[in-house]
Amino acid sequence: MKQFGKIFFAVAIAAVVLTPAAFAQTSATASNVPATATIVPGITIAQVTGLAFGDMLSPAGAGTVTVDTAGARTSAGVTLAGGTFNAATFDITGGANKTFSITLPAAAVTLTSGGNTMTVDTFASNPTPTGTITGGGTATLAVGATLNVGAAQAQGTYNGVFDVTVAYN
Amino acid sequence: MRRILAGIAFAAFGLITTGTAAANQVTATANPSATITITTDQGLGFGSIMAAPAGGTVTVAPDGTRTLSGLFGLSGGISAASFTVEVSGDNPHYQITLPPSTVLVGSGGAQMIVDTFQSLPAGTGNAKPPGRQETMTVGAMLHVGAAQPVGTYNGVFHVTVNLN
Repeated sequence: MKQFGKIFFAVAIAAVVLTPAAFAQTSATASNVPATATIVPGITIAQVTGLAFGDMLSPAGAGTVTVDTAGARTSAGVTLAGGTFNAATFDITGGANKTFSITLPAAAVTLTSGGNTMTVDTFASNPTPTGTITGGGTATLAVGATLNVGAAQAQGTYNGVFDVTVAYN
Repeated sequence: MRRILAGIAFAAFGLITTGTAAANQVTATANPSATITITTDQGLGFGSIMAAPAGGTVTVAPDGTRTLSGLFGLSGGISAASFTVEVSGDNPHYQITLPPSTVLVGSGGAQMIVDTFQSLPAGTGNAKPPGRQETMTVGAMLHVGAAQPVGTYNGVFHVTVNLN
Protein backbone atom coordinates (compact mmCIF):
# COMPACT_ATOMS: atom_id res chain seq x y z
CA MET A 1 0.00 0.00 0.00
CA LYS A 2 2.94 2.27 0.52
CA GLN A 3 3.99 1.84 -3.11
CA PHE A 4 0.46 2.44 -4.36
CA GLY A 5 0.45 5.90 -2.80
CA LYS A 6 3.74 6.88 -4.36
CA ILE A 7 2.88 5.81 -7.88
CA PHE A 8 -0.54 7.43 -7.85
CA PHE A 9 1.04 10.75 -6.90
CA ALA A 10 3.54 10.62 -9.75
CA VAL A 11 0.91 9.94 -12.40
CA ALA A 12 -1.41 12.67 -11.21
CA ILE A 13 1.34 15.27 -11.38
CA ALA A 14 2.24 14.27 -14.93
CA ALA A 15 -1.33 14.81 -16.08
CA VAL A 16 -1.63 18.21 -14.44
CA VAL A 17 1.54 19.45 -16.06
CA LEU A 18 0.23 18.52 -19.50
CA THR A 19 -3.08 20.32 -19.25
CA PRO A 20 -2.09 24.02 -19.42
CA ALA A 21 -0.28 23.57 -22.73
CA ALA A 22 -3.22 21.74 -24.21
CA PHE A 23 -5.71 24.38 -23.05
CA ALA A 24 -3.80 27.26 -24.65
CA GLN A 25 -4.19 25.69 -28.09
CA THR A 26 -7.97 25.75 -28.15
CA SER A 27 -8.50 29.46 -27.43
CA ALA A 28 -6.90 32.64 -28.72
CA THR A 29 -7.54 36.29 -27.91
CA ALA A 30 -6.82 39.38 -29.95
CA SER A 31 -5.95 41.80 -27.15
CA ASN A 32 -5.87 45.58 -27.18
CA VAL A 33 -7.51 45.96 -30.57
CA PRO A 34 -7.55 49.72 -31.17
CA ALA A 35 -10.81 51.62 -31.55
CA THR A 36 -10.74 55.29 -32.52
CA ALA A 37 -13.10 58.18 -33.22
CA THR A 38 -12.56 61.88 -33.76
CA ILE A 39 -15.03 64.58 -32.76
CA VAL A 40 -14.57 67.74 -34.80
CA PRO A 41 -16.10 71.18 -34.26
CA GLY A 42 -18.65 72.59 -36.67
CA ILE A 43 -17.25 74.44 -39.68
CA THR A 44 -17.67 78.24 -39.77
CA ILE A 45 -17.04 80.91 -42.40
CA ALA A 46 -16.74 84.65 -41.79
CA GLN A 47 -16.29 87.36 -44.41
CA VAL A 48 -13.14 89.45 -44.06
CA THR A 49 -13.48 91.59 -47.19
CA GLY A 50 -16.21 91.88 -49.82
CA LEU A 51 -15.63 91.59 -53.54
CA ALA A 52 -14.85 95.01 -55.13
CA PHE A 53 -14.32 95.83 -58.80
CA GLY A 54 -13.21 99.44 -58.20
CA ASP A 55 -13.89 102.37 -60.51
CA MET A 56 -14.24 102.29 -64.30
CA LEU A 57 -15.44 104.49 -67.13
CA SER A 58 -18.72 103.78 -68.85
CA PRO A 59 -17.80 102.04 -72.12
CA ALA A 60 -19.34 102.70 -75.50
CA GLY A 61 -19.71 98.97 -76.05
CA ALA A 62 -20.21 96.17 -73.55
CA GLY A 63 -17.13 94.91 -71.72
CA THR A 64 -15.95 93.06 -68.64
CA VAL A 65 -13.87 93.66 -65.52
CA THR A 66 -12.39 90.64 -63.75
CA VAL A 67 -10.95 90.50 -60.24
CA ASP A 68 -9.08 87.24 -59.71
CA THR A 69 -8.68 85.35 -56.43
CA ALA A 70 -5.37 87.13 -55.77
CA GLY A 71 -7.13 90.48 -56.10
CA ALA A 72 -5.58 91.43 -59.46
CA ARG A 73 -7.90 93.34 -61.81
CA THR A 74 -8.09 93.03 -65.60
CA SER A 75 -10.56 94.37 -68.11
CA ALA A 76 -11.79 93.80 -71.64
CA GLY A 77 -13.41 96.72 -73.48
CA VAL A 78 -13.59 98.79 -70.31
CA THR A 79 -11.22 101.56 -69.18
CA LEU A 80 -10.27 101.14 -65.53
CA ALA A 81 -10.07 104.20 -63.31
CA GLY A 82 -8.53 103.22 -59.97
CA GLY A 83 -10.72 102.98 -56.93
CA THR A 84 -10.72 100.13 -54.43
CA PHE A 85 -10.70 96.66 -55.88
CA ASN A 86 -10.06 93.35 -54.17
CA ALA A 87 -11.08 89.73 -54.04
CA ALA A 88 -13.57 88.63 -51.40
CA THR A 89 -11.78 86.87 -48.53
CA PHE A 90 -13.07 84.66 -45.78
CA ASP A 91 -11.81 83.07 -42.58
CA ILE A 92 -12.85 79.48 -41.97
CA THR A 93 -12.63 77.45 -38.78
CA GLY A 94 -13.16 73.73 -38.33
CA GLY A 95 -11.56 70.40 -37.55
CA ALA A 96 -7.79 70.15 -37.91
CA ASN A 97 -6.66 68.69 -41.24
CA LYS A 98 -10.23 68.17 -42.47
CA THR A 99 -11.19 68.95 -46.03
CA PHE A 100 -14.20 71.00 -47.06
CA SER A 101 -16.08 71.71 -50.26
CA ILE A 102 -16.69 75.25 -51.53
CA THR A 103 -19.91 76.23 -53.25
CA LEU A 104 -19.93 79.47 -55.25
CA PRO A 105 -22.91 81.12 -56.96
CA ALA A 106 -23.81 79.06 -59.99
CA ALA A 107 -25.98 81.77 -61.51
CA ALA A 108 -25.13 85.40 -62.18
CA VAL A 109 -25.52 87.83 -59.29
CA THR A 110 -27.11 91.23 -59.98
CA LEU A 111 -25.64 94.55 -58.79
CA THR A 112 -28.02 97.50 -58.70
CA SER A 113 -27.74 101.24 -58.61
CA GLY A 114 -31.21 102.69 -58.40
CA GLY A 115 -33.00 101.16 -61.34
CA ASN A 116 -29.81 100.24 -63.19
CA THR A 117 -28.17 96.82 -63.04
CA MET A 118 -24.99 94.91 -63.92
CA THR A 119 -24.34 91.21 -63.47
CA VAL A 120 -21.43 89.36 -61.90
CA ASP A 121 -20.62 85.78 -62.90
CA THR A 122 -17.75 83.33 -63.44
CA PHE A 123 -17.02 83.13 -59.73
CA ALA A 124 -13.72 81.42 -58.87
CA SER A 125 -12.14 80.51 -55.54
CA ASN A 126 -8.75 79.74 -54.10
CA PRO A 127 -8.52 76.99 -52.98
CA THR A 128 -10.78 75.19 -55.44
CA PRO A 129 -12.87 73.06 -55.51
CA THR A 130 -12.02 71.88 -51.99
CA GLY A 131 -9.89 73.24 -49.18
CA THR A 132 -8.08 71.80 -46.19
CA ILE A 133 -8.21 73.18 -42.68
CA THR A 134 -4.80 73.57 -41.05
CA GLY A 135 -3.64 71.69 -38.00
CA GLY A 136 -4.50 74.83 -36.06
CA GLY A 137 -8.14 74.58 -37.16
CA THR A 138 -8.26 77.54 -39.58
CA ALA A 139 -8.30 78.18 -43.32
CA THR A 140 -8.66 81.18 -45.61
CA LEU A 141 -10.65 81.42 -48.81
CA ALA A 142 -10.51 84.02 -51.60
CA VAL A 143 -13.19 84.53 -54.24
CA GLY A 144 -13.01 86.49 -57.49
CA ALA A 145 -15.49 87.00 -60.34
CA THR A 146 -16.21 88.85 -63.56
CA LEU A 147 -18.37 91.99 -63.79
CA ASN A 148 -20.34 92.47 -67.01
CA VAL A 149 -20.54 96.18 -67.91
CA GLY A 150 -23.17 97.20 -70.44
CA ALA A 151 -22.75 99.56 -73.35
CA ALA A 152 -23.11 103.12 -72.01
CA GLN A 153 -23.68 101.67 -68.51
CA ALA A 154 -25.32 104.34 -66.36
CA GLN A 155 -23.05 106.11 -63.89
CA GLY A 156 -23.41 105.15 -60.22
CA THR A 157 -22.35 102.92 -57.37
CA TYR A 158 -23.60 99.37 -57.85
CA ASN A 159 -24.10 96.94 -54.96
CA GLY A 160 -25.16 93.34 -54.62
CA VAL A 161 -24.61 90.28 -52.47
CA PHE A 162 -23.72 86.66 -53.07
CA ASP A 163 -23.41 83.52 -50.98
CA VAL A 164 -20.42 81.23 -50.43
CA THR A 165 -20.96 77.91 -48.69
CA VAL A 166 -18.35 75.61 -47.18
CA ALA A 167 -19.13 72.10 -45.98
CA TYR A 168 -17.12 69.21 -44.60
CA ASN A 169 -16.38 66.48 -47.08
CA MET B 1 4.25 -5.30 -8.82
CA ARG B 2 3.78 -4.59 -12.50
CA ARG B 3 0.12 -5.33 -12.35
CA ILE B 4 -0.45 -2.92 -9.57
CA LEU B 5 1.40 -0.21 -11.42
CA ALA B 6 -0.74 -0.49 -14.56
CA GLY B 7 -3.90 -0.52 -12.55
CA ILE B 8 -2.97 2.59 -10.68
CA ALA B 9 -1.99 4.51 -13.82
CA PHE B 10 -5.38 3.81 -15.34
CA ALA B 11 -7.13 4.98 -12.22
CA ALA B 12 -5.25 8.25 -12.29
CA PHE B 13 -6.23 9.10 -15.88
CA GLY B 14 -9.79 8.10 -15.17
CA LEU B 15 -9.85 10.54 -12.33
CA ILE B 16 -8.78 13.45 -14.53
CA THR B 17 -11.12 12.77 -17.41
CA THR B 18 -14.15 12.94 -15.14
CA GLY B 19 -13.64 16.71 -14.64
CA THR B 20 -15.55 18.76 -17.25
CA ALA B 21 -12.74 21.14 -18.20
CA ALA B 22 -10.05 18.53 -17.83
CA ALA B 23 -11.88 16.15 -20.16
CA ASN B 24 -11.44 18.54 -23.10
CA GLN B 25 -7.85 19.12 -22.23
CA VAL B 26 -7.01 15.47 -22.34
CA THR B 27 -8.63 15.21 -25.76
CA ALA B 28 -6.54 18.09 -27.04
CA THR B 29 -3.42 16.45 -25.79
CA ALA B 30 -4.33 13.34 -27.74
CA ASN B 31 -4.59 15.55 -30.88
CA PRO B 32 -1.85 18.11 -30.41
CA SER B 33 -2.38 19.58 -33.89
CA ALA B 34 -5.68 21.28 -32.86
CA THR B 35 -4.70 24.90 -32.45
CA ILE B 36 -6.28 28.29 -33.14
CA THR B 37 -4.69 31.70 -33.52
CA ILE B 38 -6.11 35.16 -34.13
CA THR B 39 -4.18 38.07 -35.62
CA THR B 40 -5.36 41.69 -35.67
CA ASP B 41 -5.06 43.14 -39.18
CA GLN B 42 -6.93 46.40 -38.64
CA GLY B 43 -8.48 48.35 -35.77
CA LEU B 44 -12.02 49.69 -35.50
CA GLY B 45 -12.35 53.24 -36.83
CA PHE B 46 -15.45 55.40 -36.53
CA GLY B 47 -13.82 58.26 -38.47
CA SER B 48 -14.54 61.91 -37.82
CA ILE B 49 -17.88 63.13 -36.57
CA MET B 50 -19.04 66.70 -36.13
CA ALA B 51 -20.00 67.62 -32.59
CA ALA B 52 -23.75 68.18 -32.31
CA PRO B 53 -25.91 69.75 -29.59
CA ALA B 54 -28.04 66.63 -29.10
CA GLY B 55 -25.50 63.86 -29.72
CA GLY B 56 -26.33 60.59 -31.43
CA THR B 57 -24.87 57.26 -32.50
CA VAL B 58 -22.38 56.09 -35.09
CA THR B 59 -22.46 52.46 -36.21
CA VAL B 60 -19.73 50.77 -38.19
CA ALA B 61 -21.04 47.48 -39.57
CA PRO B 62 -18.75 44.44 -39.92
CA ASP B 63 -18.63 45.20 -43.67
CA GLY B 64 -17.11 48.61 -42.87
CA THR B 65 -20.08 50.80 -43.77
CA ARG B 66 -20.88 53.64 -41.38
CA THR B 67 -24.36 54.76 -40.39
CA LEU B 68 -25.00 57.94 -38.42
CA SER B 69 -28.03 58.82 -36.35
CA GLY B 70 -28.44 62.48 -35.36
CA LEU B 71 -24.91 63.33 -36.44
CA PHE B 72 -22.91 64.52 -39.44
CA GLY B 73 -19.89 62.43 -40.39
CA LEU B 74 -16.78 63.40 -42.32
CA SER B 75 -15.06 61.13 -44.81
CA GLY B 76 -11.98 59.10 -43.96
CA GLY B 77 -10.77 56.93 -41.11
CA ILE B 78 -13.70 54.49 -41.21
CA SER B 79 -12.99 50.77 -40.83
CA ALA B 80 -14.37 47.63 -39.29
CA ALA B 81 -11.81 45.77 -37.18
CA SER B 82 -10.37 42.88 -39.15
CA PHE B 83 -8.78 39.65 -37.96
CA THR B 84 -7.27 36.53 -39.44
CA VAL B 85 -8.28 33.36 -37.64
CA GLU B 86 -6.19 30.30 -38.37
CA VAL B 87 -7.06 26.80 -37.25
CA SER B 88 -5.11 23.61 -37.52
CA GLY B 89 -6.58 20.25 -36.73
CA ASP B 90 -9.63 18.34 -37.80
CA ASN B 91 -12.31 20.75 -36.62
CA PRO B 92 -12.40 24.09 -38.49
CA HIS B 93 -15.29 25.51 -36.43
CA TYR B 94 -14.69 28.13 -33.78
CA GLN B 95 -16.72 30.33 -31.49
CA ILE B 96 -16.35 34.13 -31.42
CA THR B 97 -16.65 36.02 -28.16
CA LEU B 98 -17.09 39.80 -28.43
CA PRO B 99 -16.94 42.31 -25.57
CA PRO B 100 -20.16 43.84 -24.20
CA SER B 101 -18.70 47.35 -24.34
CA THR B 102 -15.58 49.46 -24.13
CA VAL B 103 -14.76 53.10 -23.43
CA LEU B 104 -12.98 55.57 -25.71
CA VAL B 105 -11.17 58.35 -23.88
CA GLY B 106 -10.52 61.73 -25.47
CA SER B 107 -7.48 63.95 -25.23
CA GLY B 108 -9.21 66.09 -22.63
CA GLY B 109 -10.43 63.12 -20.59
CA ALA B 110 -13.98 63.02 -21.98
CA GLN B 111 -15.38 59.57 -22.72
CA MET B 112 -17.61 57.81 -25.19
CA ILE B 113 -19.08 54.32 -24.90
CA VAL B 114 -18.79 51.72 -27.65
CA ASP B 115 -21.16 48.75 -27.48
CA THR B 116 -23.34 46.48 -29.65
CA PHE B 117 -20.32 44.71 -31.06
CA GLN B 118 -21.09 42.41 -33.97
CA SER B 119 -18.95 40.14 -36.07
CA LEU B 120 -18.95 38.68 -39.56
CA PRO B 121 -19.21 35.73 -39.44
CA ALA B 122 -21.47 36.04 -36.41
CA GLY B 123 -21.31 33.65 -33.49
CA THR B 124 -19.24 30.89 -35.02
CA GLY B 125 -16.69 30.80 -37.79
CA ASN B 126 -15.41 28.14 -40.12
CA ALA B 127 -11.75 28.22 -41.10
CA LYS B 128 -12.18 25.59 -43.79
CA PRO B 129 -9.44 23.51 -45.34
CA PRO B 130 -7.35 23.75 -47.35
CA GLY B 131 -6.44 27.26 -46.20
CA ARG B 132 -7.75 26.83 -42.65
CA GLN B 133 -7.82 30.61 -42.44
CA GLU B 134 -10.75 32.96 -42.25
CA THR B 135 -11.06 36.71 -42.17
CA MET B 136 -13.34 37.84 -39.38
CA THR B 137 -14.49 41.45 -39.13
CA VAL B 138 -16.01 43.29 -36.19
CA GLY B 139 -18.14 46.43 -36.02
CA ALA B 140 -19.81 48.27 -33.16
CA MET B 141 -21.85 51.30 -32.14
CA LEU B 142 -20.36 54.54 -30.79
CA HIS B 143 -22.44 56.75 -28.51
CA VAL B 144 -21.66 60.44 -28.97
CA GLY B 145 -22.90 62.65 -26.17
CA ALA B 146 -24.67 66.00 -26.41
CA ALA B 147 -22.01 68.63 -27.24
CA GLN B 148 -19.33 65.93 -27.03
CA PRO B 149 -15.96 67.69 -26.57
CA VAL B 150 -13.82 67.98 -29.68
CA GLY B 151 -10.83 65.65 -29.77
CA THR B 152 -9.39 62.31 -30.76
CA TYR B 153 -10.77 59.40 -28.73
CA ASN B 154 -8.95 56.10 -28.29
CA GLY B 155 -9.77 52.81 -26.63
CA VAL B 156 -9.16 49.07 -26.93
CA PHE B 157 -11.22 45.90 -26.90
CA HIS B 158 -10.58 42.16 -26.97
CA VAL B 159 -11.92 39.42 -29.21
CA THR B 160 -11.60 35.76 -28.25
CA VAL B 161 -11.99 32.71 -30.48
CA ASN B 162 -12.41 29.17 -29.17
CA LEU B 163 -12.30 25.89 -31.00
CA ASN B 164 -15.70 24.23 -30.75
